[in-house]
Amino acid sequence: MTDGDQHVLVVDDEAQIRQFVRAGMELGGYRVTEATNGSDALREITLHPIDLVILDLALPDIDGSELLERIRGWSGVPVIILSVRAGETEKVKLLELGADDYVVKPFFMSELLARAKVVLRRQSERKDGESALRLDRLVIDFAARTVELDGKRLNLTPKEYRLLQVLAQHPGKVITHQNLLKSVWGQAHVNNTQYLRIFVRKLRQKIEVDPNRPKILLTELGVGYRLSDPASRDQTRLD
Amino acid sequence: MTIERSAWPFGDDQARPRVDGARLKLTVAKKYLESALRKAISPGGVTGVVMALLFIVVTDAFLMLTKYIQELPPVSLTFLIPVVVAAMRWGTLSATVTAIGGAGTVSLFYYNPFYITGPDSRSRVLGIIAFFTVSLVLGYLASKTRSDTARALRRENEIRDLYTFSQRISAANSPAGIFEAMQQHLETLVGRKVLLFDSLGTLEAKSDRLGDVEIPAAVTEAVSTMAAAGADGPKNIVVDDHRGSAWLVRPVSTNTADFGIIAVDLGRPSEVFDELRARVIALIGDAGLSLERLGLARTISEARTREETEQFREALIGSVSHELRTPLSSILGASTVLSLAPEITGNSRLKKLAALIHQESERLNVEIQNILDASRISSNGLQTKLEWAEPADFINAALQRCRNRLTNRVVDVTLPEELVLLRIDSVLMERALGQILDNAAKYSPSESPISVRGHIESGQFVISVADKGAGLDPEDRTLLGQKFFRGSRQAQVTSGLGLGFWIASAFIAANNGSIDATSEGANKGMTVTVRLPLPMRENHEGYDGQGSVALADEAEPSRV
Repeated sequence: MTDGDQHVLVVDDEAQIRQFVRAGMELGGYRVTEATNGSDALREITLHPIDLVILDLALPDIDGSELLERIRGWSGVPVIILSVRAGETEKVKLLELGADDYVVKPFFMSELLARAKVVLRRQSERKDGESALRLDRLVIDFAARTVELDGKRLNLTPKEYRLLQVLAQHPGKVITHQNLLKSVWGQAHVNNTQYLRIFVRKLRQKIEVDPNRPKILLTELGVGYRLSDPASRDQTRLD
Repeated sequence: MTIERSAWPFGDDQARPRVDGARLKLTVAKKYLESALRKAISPGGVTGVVMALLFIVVTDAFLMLTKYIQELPPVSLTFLIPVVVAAMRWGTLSATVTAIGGAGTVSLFYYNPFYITGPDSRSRVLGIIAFFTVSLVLGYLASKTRSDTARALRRENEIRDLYTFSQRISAANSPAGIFEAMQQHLETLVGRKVLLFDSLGTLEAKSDRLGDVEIPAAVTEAVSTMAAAGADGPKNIVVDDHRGSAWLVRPVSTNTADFGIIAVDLGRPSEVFDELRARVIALIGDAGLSLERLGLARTISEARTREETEQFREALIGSVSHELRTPLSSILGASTVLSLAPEITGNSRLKKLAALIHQESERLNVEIQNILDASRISSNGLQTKLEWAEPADFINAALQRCRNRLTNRVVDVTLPEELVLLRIDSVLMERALGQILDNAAKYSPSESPISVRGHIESGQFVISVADKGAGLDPEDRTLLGQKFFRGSRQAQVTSGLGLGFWIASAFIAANNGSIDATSEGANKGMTVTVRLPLPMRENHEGYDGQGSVALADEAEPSRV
């Protein structure tokens, strides 16, 4: 299922969770290392080439979000957060701290696998430095600043293009409302969510078959938006 | 003051009423003089006297003028007007002066006092005396009315304060809230900066007038001394805060420690300091009594119990959510791993079992979530984060969440073509709609269609979810909104706690919306209608309600 033998670090103080996550990840073809606390996790990330960290927020020695901040201080390793706290503010905070994705407990293994796949794929693409992104029927060419749908060039306004571009830089990753508003409209407008709603609607009218049932530009309620990733289409969610 | 003989009901004992009448007259006169003297030394007294004299002069001038034009019989009654006015306006002293002056001028103008010996001199003297007595009594009565009115006004204000206070008390749901209200009430009464500490010496409420200024150390010290000493301790302590103010520290009530300890800023010590202190102590004493009358001690202890119960409940919910969900996370996660394993997917019998574990643990998870939501609603812990949001987004999310229940069904979704923006908490709305869809799926045949329709109707966004299921008995309809309600027939065939509709109602109410369910009757399906307010157009910056946009977008040259 994956290219090569990718190494996943599972950080959780509950043995039961580690046990089934390990089993699930191994079924998905990953190599798994476990850590029960924050300091062990930091040591593992420093000593071994870890490709993905699955991090539980409740750790005995250090708060998960603090650990995330410390990791982000020197490493760009993808991090997926596991949390029982499902609040939207919490999710926004974690994303802004640099988490690549989050999964709320209880969750389905298939969901975690799908997210892991998207995050890892994004990571490898980043290394390749691709200049175009293909999403189903949609092709975004960053160099030429063009967008094509079914081979036909779309006429996007500068702000619509900018919005799509920001989302397309991290396909599959949730970009928070604040981040989108900051990138497209500037710092002064971070609270004008209605701008975002209006432009998302306009963009959806151009790129979606039915703007009321979007398949490409997806809403993450109370958090932000993301572009669907071909790899994550079969994912299941429970939160 | 004398009583007619015929009117006296107690036989021949005629002496008593007369004696009593005389005594009464004496007491009235004594009181009258006392109050007149007291008033005379007060600053208002001087104005009263001056005004009284002025009044007499004006009335005299008026009478002389009328006499000039037309000779009138003695109109001494005219002088009663200034007497009454003076009494109402400036009190007894002013009224007395007016009465004396009036009597004097009447005798001067009309009776010529130097010739009171004449054929009708006797009646003249009697006339003057009668006038004088009448005006004195009238003056006294009028000034009494005046002070009664003032007292009634003051009492009315006090009652109003007390009423505001008791309303505040009933609205307060914690001891801190009650102390806050007490502090404000006492501050209004005393009219100075007030700090209120509970019986243990912990600061409970602080004067707004104090701002961010620190509480003087001397005050805190005095309060803790008083709190430590308890009932046997000193009743009043006056301390200097070294900032030029003296503070009075004393228990709010001398009968109970429940109302805590009050510290009042008496300001800079001056010559009226003792008087001020005595007044403040008296006011606090009154306030303490009225607090006792309000049964405040019980209210405070009830609030404490309630707070403790609330904390206990929170702890219980917290532990339920953790203790039940932690193992459930493992079961659910492990079951989903099993459904992925080739050994199981290859064996149809095992595959079914793995799916069963998966489904049932998911159901358990939903019920736990419902209990948590319900307890959050009951404890008013529901916090909404209202944001501009598209209804299509939460409707899709709710459909996505329920997709396992909705498999093999035609779900017909109709939404408006244009952009609709609502001011809602879309996460709560998604959960509410999820509950409605879940109920629709639960209580209708597994392959019957469900329709979800969203449209704008008279200033509201209306979402209706219609199923072709069991419907609702008319007698069940009124019960629908209740917690743990389940339709009489539904209860027999489907599992569940019956929290769904209740939770949905609460979530929708938190979004300023309403929910209603209609059914043609048993087995005729049910339609649940949710109405959410459409915000006024002017509140949308850059959105005109028609989907077109007034935001500058073409400012930079298009390169796309």
